[in-house]
Amino acid sequence: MTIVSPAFFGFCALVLMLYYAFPTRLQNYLLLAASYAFYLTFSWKFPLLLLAMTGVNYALGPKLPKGRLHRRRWLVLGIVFDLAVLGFFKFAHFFVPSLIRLLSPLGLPVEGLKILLPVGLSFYSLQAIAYLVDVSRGQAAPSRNIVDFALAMAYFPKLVAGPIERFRSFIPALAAPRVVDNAVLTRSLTLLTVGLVRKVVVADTLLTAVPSKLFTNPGKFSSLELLIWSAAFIVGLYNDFAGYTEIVRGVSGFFGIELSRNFAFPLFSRNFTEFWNRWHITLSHWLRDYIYFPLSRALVRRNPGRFNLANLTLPPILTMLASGLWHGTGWNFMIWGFLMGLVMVAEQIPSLWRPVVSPDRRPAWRRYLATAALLVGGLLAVVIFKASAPTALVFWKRLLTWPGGAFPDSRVFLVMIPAFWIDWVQYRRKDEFAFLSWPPLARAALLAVAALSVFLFGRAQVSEPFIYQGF
Amino acid sequence: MDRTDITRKLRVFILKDILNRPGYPLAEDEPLITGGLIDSHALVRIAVFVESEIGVYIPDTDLSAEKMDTLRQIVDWVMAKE
Repeated sequence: MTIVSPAFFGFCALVLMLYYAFPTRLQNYLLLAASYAFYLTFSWKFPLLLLAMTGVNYALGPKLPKGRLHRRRWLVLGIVFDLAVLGFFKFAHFFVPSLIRLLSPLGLPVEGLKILLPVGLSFYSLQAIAYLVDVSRGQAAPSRNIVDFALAMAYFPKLVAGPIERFRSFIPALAAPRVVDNAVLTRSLTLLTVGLVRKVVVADTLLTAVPSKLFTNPGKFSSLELLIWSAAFIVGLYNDFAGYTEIVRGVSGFFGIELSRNFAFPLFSRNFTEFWNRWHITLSHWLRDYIYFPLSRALVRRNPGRFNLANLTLPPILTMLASGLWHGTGWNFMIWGFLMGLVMVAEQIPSLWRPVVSPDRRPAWRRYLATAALLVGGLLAVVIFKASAPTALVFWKRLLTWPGGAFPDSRVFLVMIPAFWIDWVQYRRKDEFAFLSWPPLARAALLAVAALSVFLFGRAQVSEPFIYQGF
Repeated sequence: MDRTDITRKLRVFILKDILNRPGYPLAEDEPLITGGLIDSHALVRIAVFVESEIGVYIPDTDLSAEKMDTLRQIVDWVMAKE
């Protein structure tokens, strides 16, 4: 069941009706059953894996608090288990197709080898690891309620592609009484509307318009086409994932359960360090809290000198390599992660000796130039994210040739306008609910235009599956 | 160590070793992280400084803009744990 589909919204409506008909103490049971039913629509095998991971992590929780015998051993065992499951399916997803290609001509049976990457595994395995680490550090209490814990793992609005919640706050929120008042409903409806516009109007239009061979055969395109289409891809990718997150946050709000924000106008960032604090925030913060900080702290403790090379280079590079590995097991993801890490190292260098000035106090031209440089850097980086290393080289070389070829359809630019406009309105107010401060008439008009656009664009094209669902 | 000492120590460290601006009039409520003045690496250096000079351990999960965005917030956090 895809998130933007009549089936999903029908499912949500049914669960909502039952949810409010149920007594409060049974609502989590209902949400848990609904979450597993939702997961079953992808494959009957996926819930079995989720159930196993839930059982193992729940059982390990009480063994981890300080003072428990062999708690470090249990912690390592839990992390190794979660990573092994994630690694097995990720690597199988990568290597098995090659193995099948190798074995097929020999007439050997290959059907049993086909292994699907379970939807959402990359997200809920990280949540489980964070839970184990937090309990072992004393920053979270081990869960004593299997229903709440299982629901935290499986909660259907965030199951497919996050946000990656921290159980130390999410499980208590599931156990607490929920308030669904007018303010919550208004915010949820706003998120849902903005999310649908991002996904149906912007992302689907752009991602279906981007030529399928853009990242596999860039030699076919002129430099201008490569530049415009890769920009369209980035805006499409951003609105696809941000749209997904806003839709599921909106849906979850109707149940009175708040999900974390995942995007904060990343395309207006002024460097990549800032960008990673604004893009896929819950993953960035996970990587920061469980890889960057422990590693960086251990190195700084050993040598607190500000010019120490290991302190400056290892944490960002290893963290971004882990990010690359999380996104995929191809070499291109590792190269992408390494390059991103190097860029973040380079961004730290000026602050080693030059006086640090807040970007907000820099002249406007410098801020705009920094954002433009970031967007160009993003365009170059997305190439290695999408293409194999040799193809990416062809792509980059081709960008340096004289522009020519046909100018892409102007509708591509037209749909980018609402995308940037939504971000601009929110960015100026530093508030994702900036639209709610508009006069009622303007809000009603905006809602009508948004609903009409979603309806018309939704009828005109097939909805693309969410890209991040594939990670 | 009292609040004034902790504030003074932290202010000197941040201005001299992080911002490279010893004379900058850093206000106690000036946003450091959200204002783009310090990044994750600088935050770790502050945490290790607090650990070694004041003897208070700041967990990784508290090294965030919600809890450590200003000098006042850092000092409040340290005072609460000391």
